Amino acid sequence: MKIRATIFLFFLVSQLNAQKYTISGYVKEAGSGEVLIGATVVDKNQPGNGMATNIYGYYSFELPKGEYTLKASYIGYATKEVSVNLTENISLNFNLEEEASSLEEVIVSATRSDENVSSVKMSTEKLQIERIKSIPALFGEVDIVKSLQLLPGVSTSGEGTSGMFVRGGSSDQNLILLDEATVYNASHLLGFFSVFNPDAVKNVEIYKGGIPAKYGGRISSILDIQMREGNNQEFEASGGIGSISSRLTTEIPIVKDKSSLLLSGRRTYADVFLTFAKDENIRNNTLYFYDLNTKFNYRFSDKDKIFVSGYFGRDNLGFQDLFGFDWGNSTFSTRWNHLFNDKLFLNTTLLYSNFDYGFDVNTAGSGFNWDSGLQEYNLKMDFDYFLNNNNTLFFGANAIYHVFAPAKITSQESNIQDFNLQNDFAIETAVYVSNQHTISDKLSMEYGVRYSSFAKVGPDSVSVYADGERKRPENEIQTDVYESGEIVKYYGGFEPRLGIRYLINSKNSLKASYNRMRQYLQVATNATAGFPTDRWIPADFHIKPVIGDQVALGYFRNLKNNAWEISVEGYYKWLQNVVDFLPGEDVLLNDRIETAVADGIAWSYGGEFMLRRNIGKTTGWLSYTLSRTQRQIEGVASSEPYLARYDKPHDIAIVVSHKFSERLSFSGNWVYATGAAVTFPQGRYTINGQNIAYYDDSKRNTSRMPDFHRMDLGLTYELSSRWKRYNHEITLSFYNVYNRKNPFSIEFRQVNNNDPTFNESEDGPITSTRPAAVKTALFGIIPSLTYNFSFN
Amino acid sequence: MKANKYKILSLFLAVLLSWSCQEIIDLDLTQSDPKLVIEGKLTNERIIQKIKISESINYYDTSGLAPFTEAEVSLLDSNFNLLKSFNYNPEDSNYQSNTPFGLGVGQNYILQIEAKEEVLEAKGIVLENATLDSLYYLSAEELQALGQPVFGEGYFMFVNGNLNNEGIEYFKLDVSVNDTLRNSRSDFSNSILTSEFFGKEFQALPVPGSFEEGDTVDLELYTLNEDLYQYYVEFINLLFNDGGVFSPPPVNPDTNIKNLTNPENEPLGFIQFSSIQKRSIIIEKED
Repeated sequence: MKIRATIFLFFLVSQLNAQKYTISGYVKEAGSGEVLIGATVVDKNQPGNGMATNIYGYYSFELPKGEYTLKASYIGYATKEVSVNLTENISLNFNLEEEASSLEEVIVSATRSDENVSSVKMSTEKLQIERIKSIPALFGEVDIVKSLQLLPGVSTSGEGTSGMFVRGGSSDQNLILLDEATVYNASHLLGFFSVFNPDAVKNVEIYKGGIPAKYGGRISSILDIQMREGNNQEFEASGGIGSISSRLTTEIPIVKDKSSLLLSGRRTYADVFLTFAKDENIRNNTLYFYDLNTKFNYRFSDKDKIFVSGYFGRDNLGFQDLFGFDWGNSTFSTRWNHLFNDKLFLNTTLLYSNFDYGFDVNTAGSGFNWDSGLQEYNLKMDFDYFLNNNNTLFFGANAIYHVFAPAKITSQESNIQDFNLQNDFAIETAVYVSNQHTISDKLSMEYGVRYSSFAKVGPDSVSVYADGERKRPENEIQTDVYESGEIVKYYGGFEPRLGIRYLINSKNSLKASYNRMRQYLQVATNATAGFPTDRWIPADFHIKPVIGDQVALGYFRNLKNNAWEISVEGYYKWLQNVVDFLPGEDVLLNDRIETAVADGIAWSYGGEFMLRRNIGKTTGWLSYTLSRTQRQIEGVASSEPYLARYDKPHDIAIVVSHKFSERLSFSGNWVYATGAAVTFPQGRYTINGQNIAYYDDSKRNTSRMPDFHRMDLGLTYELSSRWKRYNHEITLSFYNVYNRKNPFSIEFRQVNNNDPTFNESEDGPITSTRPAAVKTALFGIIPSLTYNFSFN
Repeated sequence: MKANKYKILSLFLAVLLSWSCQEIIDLDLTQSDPKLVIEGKLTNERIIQKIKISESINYYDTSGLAPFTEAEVSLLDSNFNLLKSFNYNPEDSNYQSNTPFGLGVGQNYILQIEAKEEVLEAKGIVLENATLDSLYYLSAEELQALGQPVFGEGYFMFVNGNLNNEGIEYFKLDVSVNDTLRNSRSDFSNSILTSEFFGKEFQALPVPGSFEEGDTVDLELYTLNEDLYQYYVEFINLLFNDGGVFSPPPVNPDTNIKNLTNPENEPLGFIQFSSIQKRSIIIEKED
């Protein structure tokens, strides 16, 4: 009751103001017609009166009757001013021209210049795609997810891999959205590249904490990626030829100012290089991936706009004719933006996501095909209600139908018999409401609540075990059978969200946030890095949803007219019902997953420091994270707390770009992280003639890999062009420039002739054998050359 | 099926390793107290049955495992009646029965060991072995002519037969060529078999590996109890664990030997109760 009264009072204050009129519209890029996200439209004389555009480029705010000069601005674009005599509600669109900046004014930010300090948002990072493209990358392949790993609180599982671990969360605790559709496996080549073609991407934003109520379904982070819409003014093409892949993107205006189509593709040609390998076993293999992105939009009017986008990507791995393995994602998004009036904006989205993999084993007598997949059908409605200048309400609902088909094995007329693992079905729903509330010039809040629910539905058969006994097949006392659509188990709960910003002055602010998240799906894996065959499992009769709470506090400061940003954040996160494998168990073909896992708790805490420069000839950032991540699972490591493998107390990244001239620019980064927490052996023995290490099973991850550090450098030179509309550049980059042999793995095994790569058939007779620790370092110094072009 | 993950990883890592490098590094490892290591394969074959007992050593120690000589080893029936005692034989560092004997198919047994003032016990049943009707081989050329994909050269062996027990059955298939057991890490991994995805009859089931003309190939097929199959699977998991991000945290395989005195202090190793079936074939050049 008290809360309701408080909210009422907040709204009442706004109602007491004088008669006001609404100004609303879109802010777009003049050259392409693409909407600009986060652009600001304000009253020039009172910049406090105004609004930033939402992710569809829409803004709405109120002013009293009168004459105003409205100013629309966006970093990197020329500010535009329009005078209006406000006597009624008006609709006003801005088309901003890209600014030809001088060398001293290079800007690499996708946010308002003072957003670091002024926004309620914390624990959120937005990276401009041009910034991502400038970071030197492995084999020259620009990688969005790996760029995010350079931010504080986001770490990687190992050399070159694209899995993300955010503030101590595991990689399946990140919700990865591409045009709002879930991407279940965001990596190619078993994790060494992410699936996002940077040419097709417009906006990248990651929420590590203080997650708004509109998002849910994962505990640790939300990675929200929007694809570009495509130029609706004139034809445009761009692409690149790299060391391992090539890309081509075309943007086609269908109806000028109203409609455009974007088509973008990327394919690797590692398989072409394989044919040059000396080893026949490698030469005859297949290894490639490709991505296709497409997006179509049509603007019926300023009130109605539709977007249809899709992504299709696939990896193929083949071992001669004997073995084939392929996997991939596909997503499909249809969105309809509708303005009921100048204050109420609705986005209705219909989404489809699919991830599947399959392999064929063609060996004589035991050939079979294996197919596995999961699908998500999602309907969302998200409302933005611009109640007044101090309150913007966000509310909505969504419903997801999940289908999990973990394994279907089909014989190739061999001794293998057909086999099906039971499919799983579930319905996940959520409703939410939140308010972005400016209480005073100094105090702003965003508060809200989300209610999510999850129903595991039939057909299903559930094993029931004897009370007090471990969930083992031998302890099963009955099997309950559920018909199609019948509810097997229902979970639900509130997820409160809160963000507070106190503006000390225009250069300093303090922020705090709290969020609770519920996650109803998890990946059942006992390895750290994701593998395409990892099985997503839903919460069910035995496995509960993971619940995560996080509090964060931060101090934010901007210096030198917002050219420098400083932020210091501390967080504490605690999770319930975290699942881990019991030693020796496997779930790949297990119909009773509950027999293989145990649940427990996890917690992580840390501090993150960020110093960033966005404007000037030299830009970049320094980030440092000090953190700890632990778990405690019944039946694992004597049920005592243990460190997660990805616990990295110290994690440092330095990212620098420097523009020497209009044509020549340099970029570089250096990363350092404490070595992963791992388990080393405490002895050795021999069984069946096999030498094998002995481990102390009462402890886990008490040792450390050697520390990780690496420097990458890149130079980009813009080539001269005979044609005005054709621009091209060449990038030379060096990954791991000082050739640091960072350990990808440390294996404990027998080594012959003191040579870990010894091959008896090639290297002669074995003269000695001994047990050793063998370090594998994946990538030494790797130079790469990329040619990029654009035609517009 | 699990082996397919290794195949995928092996293939992928083979490609990756073309960029990678490997080197031996020195790591200071904590040394735990020596653990008992027990290895026994008792079969229905009428022979001197043997049990090997030793102790684990420092990881870097290049000497062999020291035998543990002060144990008492007894074979009991399911009613705990003593059937056989085993005595330590210093000549081959094993505990062995005084006289040849074979286990009875369909019988349950208990092997009891008293060592370090603790009583250890493993239980198992000797299951009826599969029927192997025929064993034959085809050359790579013949397989290709039949439209079958072939990896490598030489001859490939196949077996026809049927299974004789209810439910899923488990086996270990040891392959020796010219009196040498094929026992590399991959050979060992391929030797552990399950009928989980097979019917009761099998035709042209491949024997792992390829062979050359003139090879004498000896096959020994052992039945396994489920707990021992699980032990071998975990053992192979550990054998292939490279300590990288694709590997699970290493854990010792779960032994089928229980410590009745101190349940927390289980030994390493296993006791296998099997029926055995042997076949031999010489690869001869076809006319």
